Amino acid sequence: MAEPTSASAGAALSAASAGDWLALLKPRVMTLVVFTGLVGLLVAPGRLHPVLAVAAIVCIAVAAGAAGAINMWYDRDIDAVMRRTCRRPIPAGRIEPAEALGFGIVLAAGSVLVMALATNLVAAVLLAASIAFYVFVYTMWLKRRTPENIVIGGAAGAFPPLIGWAAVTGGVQPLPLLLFAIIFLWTPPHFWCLALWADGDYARAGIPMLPVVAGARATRRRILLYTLLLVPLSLLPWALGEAGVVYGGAAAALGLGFLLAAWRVLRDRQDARGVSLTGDAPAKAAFRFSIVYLFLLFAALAVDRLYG
Amino acid sequence: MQPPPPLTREQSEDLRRRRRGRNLLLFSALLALALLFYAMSMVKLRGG
Repeated sequence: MAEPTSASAGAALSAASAGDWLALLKPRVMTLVVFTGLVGLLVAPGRLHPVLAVAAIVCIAVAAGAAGAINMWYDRDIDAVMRRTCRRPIPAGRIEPAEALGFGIVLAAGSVLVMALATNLVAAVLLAASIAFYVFVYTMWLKRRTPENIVIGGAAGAFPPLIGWAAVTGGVQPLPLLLFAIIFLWTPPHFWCLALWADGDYARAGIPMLPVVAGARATRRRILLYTLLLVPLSLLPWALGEAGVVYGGAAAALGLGFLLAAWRVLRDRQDARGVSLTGDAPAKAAFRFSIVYLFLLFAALAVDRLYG
Repeated sequence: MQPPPPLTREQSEDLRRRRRGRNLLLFSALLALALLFYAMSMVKLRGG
């Protein structure tokens, strides 16, 4: 039989596990951020000592996590009503909001400081800008106000290759700006695919995601439109001579795959209101493919620049 | 104000386990940071 002890039940409720603190850092989002930052660092001309390169990547990861923690602090009210996010540590009551905010601020400041010490001021300023953009521009300003939230806010996730490049060179050149633009254009179709099947969640939370405001049909058209813009842009590094045929071939093949996925989303069987009759299967497939697309595209660039 | 109800043995064990996990995480993070700063200092001192 369970026996009472002297500690309070309230203390148990506030005792978050190590996993809860790690969950605040949105580790799945971090993976893509770290990878694109690493590629920015690898393809940059010049050399950075491996120890400093590791420090730079850790800073990018921690900064992304810090921005995620502050985002979770600010969005705790809407996270609580969304099925996808209601089990996060703050809405579930395992971490106090103020603790999460403090955690995020300390990590954000620490990551920028260490980046400046390990590499240079340009990389540190870009890192600070990426955190500020995600927290102030996307989370606090755009997310709850406009269906274009993810279009503009997507810039926050596009910073890592710029930061990686700047960590090595101390500046910004055309190639990292192209990589920034690629992620910037990749983000809307990626998130709108998710929003197509999570629109009920967003509607409940009052988030004006495109499918909630403009409907599923308009969202499917926008997914294809942005993919049509993304594919030629992804070929520019090769067309401008910044990358070779390995990257060019990969960008063309992956682009065709993404276009096909976006086309299938557009042609999904749907009722008169545009609601999917397939459980949004094409949108789910396109969402998964978009992640593979970005990983492989950046991996191809790294291989091309390092071994091509 | 009513005092909070006492914890059961299972809750108490769970609380201890979670505290231990957090402490280990904090220790690992601090150790990693110390090592990172040491390595960075060495590289900078050698002009890396």
